[in-house]
Amino acid sequence: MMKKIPGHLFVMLLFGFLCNPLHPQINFPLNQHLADSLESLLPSASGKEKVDILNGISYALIRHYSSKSDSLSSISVQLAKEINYKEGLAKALFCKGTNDYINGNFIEGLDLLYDAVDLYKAMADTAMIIDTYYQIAGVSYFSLTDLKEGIRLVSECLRYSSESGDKLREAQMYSTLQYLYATAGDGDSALYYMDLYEKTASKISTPRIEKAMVTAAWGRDYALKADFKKAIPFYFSALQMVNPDDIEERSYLAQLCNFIGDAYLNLGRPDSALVFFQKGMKLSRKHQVFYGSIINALGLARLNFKENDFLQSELYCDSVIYFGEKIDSSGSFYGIAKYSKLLGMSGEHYIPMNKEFKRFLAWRIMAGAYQILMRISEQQEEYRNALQINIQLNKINDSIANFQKRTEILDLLHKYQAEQKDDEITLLSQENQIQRFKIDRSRLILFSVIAISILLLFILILVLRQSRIKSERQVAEFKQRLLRSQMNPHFIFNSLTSVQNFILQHDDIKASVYLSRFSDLVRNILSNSLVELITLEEEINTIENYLELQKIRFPEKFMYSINIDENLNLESINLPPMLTQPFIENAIEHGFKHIEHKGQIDLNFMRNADYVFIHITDNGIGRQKSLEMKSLQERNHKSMAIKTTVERIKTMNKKLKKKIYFEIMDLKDQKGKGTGTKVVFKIPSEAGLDWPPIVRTHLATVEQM
Amino acid sequence: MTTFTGKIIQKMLRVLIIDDESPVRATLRGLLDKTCPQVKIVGEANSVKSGCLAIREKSPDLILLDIKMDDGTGFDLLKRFENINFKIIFITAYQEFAIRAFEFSAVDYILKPVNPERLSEAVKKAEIIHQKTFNTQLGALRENIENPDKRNKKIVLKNQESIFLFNVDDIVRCESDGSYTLFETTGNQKILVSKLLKDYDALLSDSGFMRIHRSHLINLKHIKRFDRQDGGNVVMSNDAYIPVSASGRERLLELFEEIGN
Repeated sequence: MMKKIPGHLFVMLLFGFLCNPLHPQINFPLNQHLADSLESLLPSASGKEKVDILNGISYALIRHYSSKSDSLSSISVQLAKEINYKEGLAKALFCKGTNDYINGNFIEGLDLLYDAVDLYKAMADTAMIIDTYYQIAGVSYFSLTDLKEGIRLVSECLRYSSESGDKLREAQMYSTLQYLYATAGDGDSALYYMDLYEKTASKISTPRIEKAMVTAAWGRDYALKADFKKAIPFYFSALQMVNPDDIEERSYLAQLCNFIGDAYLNLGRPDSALVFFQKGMKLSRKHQVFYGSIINALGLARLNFKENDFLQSELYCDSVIYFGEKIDSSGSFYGIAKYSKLLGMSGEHYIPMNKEFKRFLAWRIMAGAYQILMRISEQQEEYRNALQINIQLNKINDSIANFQKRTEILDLLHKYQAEQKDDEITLLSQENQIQRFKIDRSRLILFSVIAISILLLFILILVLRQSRIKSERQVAEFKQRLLRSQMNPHFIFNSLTSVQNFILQHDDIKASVYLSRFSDLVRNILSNSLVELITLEEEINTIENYLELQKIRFPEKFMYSINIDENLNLESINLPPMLTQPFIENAIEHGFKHIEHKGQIDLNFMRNADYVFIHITDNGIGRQKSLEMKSLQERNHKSMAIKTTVERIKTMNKKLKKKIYFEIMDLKDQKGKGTGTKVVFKIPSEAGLDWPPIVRTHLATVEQM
Repeated sequence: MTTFTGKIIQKMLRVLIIDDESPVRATLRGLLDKTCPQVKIVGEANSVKSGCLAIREKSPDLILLDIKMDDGTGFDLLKRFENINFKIIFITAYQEFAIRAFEFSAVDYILKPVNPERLSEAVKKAEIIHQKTFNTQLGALRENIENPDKRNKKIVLKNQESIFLFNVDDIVRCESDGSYTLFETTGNQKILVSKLLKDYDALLSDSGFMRIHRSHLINLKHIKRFDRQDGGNVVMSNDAYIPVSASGRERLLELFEEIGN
């Protein structure tokens, strides 16, 4: 059949379909059929027709097969220039510029898109001027995070659309402006454009999915104005209009659930919010829509935090971080590779986002989760943990700031280049200007480029330095708090009260002994907080003092033994301070709480050729039982402490050739009843030699349990 | 238990010690023996559970109560009693969240290790305080601890004759009067308390109060207007006319600006 239609006619038919869409194709859906048909015509085509075909394939593949689309548009640009085919060149530049944007080369992309605009302006092709400007607006926002510029450009598109009477594009601009203002948090302006959209759209036919998005946007705009009661019905009717069997629409659905959950949460109805957040999580699971998962997980983390269920909240924060890291590493909203080019959230409906912007979004959501984790730690006075979280949060915030800063500077440079180009054009057109003046001017431009670049670099350095100083100050502040919580006040003041008892009983020798043990311990804690490594001898002394003091607080409760392998040279082995102390404290203050027999803690220090082993064995009730006995608050505390120890060792291991291993084992008798806990540390014995000095700043002394 | 000392009958103060660490109990016992001759220790307990039993069994006049124990807090213990017919001195190792609440309620607490003078002073105070007065204070304490947010805080004010319980919001202003502080409330009550204004400044500055003058602490919620004349004066909801010092004026204007924005 196809062969019977003359080639050029067929091309024209296809382009008729492409160039006059019912609706502007703003998010570049895949048109595989069109691409295949055009590709079969390619070998026999030449000249303008070939350029058109190349452009057609390139356009049809932009989002899904970006690299192929990119190389085809490059060929097309070349060819169009050779045969001086302006229309074809403009379209090819448009395709190539868009591809550059999708691949993250947005500065090059912007240049090409601006070139395309110039050509379209010369041809007075209003529709394409609008589409190209629209694309530039997308780049400005989605790559450069420059909302203002995005809004300015879309307003420009709007002007062209309404002047040319293009109702379709006019409506598109209203809804985009609505979206951008909503993103900026300006609910009033968003609602204003929404109204205009509805007025315009009522005169044209719009696709179902767009109606759904607009309905959801009404809700979103009311939510921005904190009018959640008005927002929810819109969300619900949007819910009805979305098709859950379509993968992309399913992702919008997950987002809608998040909106509804948020609205309910803000209305003080956590039960309803819970239902929708969970529904959002469930919807995201099947196709691994990470964006749907991450926002709903954050919703659940917030909800549980508000409800004071810190354990649950932490779990969901962990999920947020898990999904965030997935998005960060893949640059995709989908966990399944073949879906990676699909739209993963409603914002992409306007302009597909590139990988960098997806990462940027993920970072911002992760920062939210870290903030919740930090507030939990601070409320529970777990400053060690808060420090770890703060380090993570700072990293993320740095990434966000760098992304924004870098793009600001690139944007400035780009604007400067554009101005420079304008200047050059002016100069060229004024041909009566003498040559020398031209040289002077371009030299001036060159100097100013250099001066501005240096200035920008200087500012960048200054800003970075400032943020580093700030984070250093924060770390110092945390260290101080850390030390304060290391000195567990209950332990300190109750021990001192026990010493007071010796004084009252006139037992001066005991009073003096324990007072000096106490002083030794405090001295050790103070000096340990400043160094990253201490000798095994110092560690054992500290632990022994600690155990002795605990023993006067609880004289009947427990016994202990410290066994040291003869082969150990206590003075030459180095290790991080106070690794074992949290486990000992845990055994004494929780493990022995509900037992009838006498508690026993055994500390064994051994070595082989490469490692030092520390075993801490107790005969307490065991982790399982202890957990059952504890209140929720205490349980949180413990899980955090173990997590912190794991984190601490992880941080250290990153810098070590030979790693530190650590394991907690539950001891059981033949009947499977818990008979205690054994904690094993395996520490590289030459640690002292290959520990880089940088470890010092990262070592937070471990969480007490 | 009564003891005859010549012809004077002196009633002994029956004391119960509740703390989960035995050396701490021994210390308290030793200190009471040495510094409080009017005291008879009737028992000891080491947990919330055993504490409850001991109270029922011994019906003590005064309890030295540890705040944090193995199986709960001292407040958990109090929840099990509907009628409190004993007085309490709280003992704690650490100035936790609750310490502000104690200050607001004027309930005594003692920090470990124990200062013997503080202990004997607190015991003496507990001895003479009326049970009803103590229960009012305790009620305020428990309410403040259960609602740790800033709103609806209760504050106890005492003068020679009476004890008053107010919502912090109902206090219009405080004025320094030598070593006394004069309180004015929304009900136009005036109460003179023998405590320094600066103590109340420290206590109330988190609850919406501002020291606008060396001798004036005001509740910001009750400001009616600010007069710029004569270096600045504030008119309160009860039409009291309060002078504002230079530094107070700056802070006030800052505050107005914040609100204005």
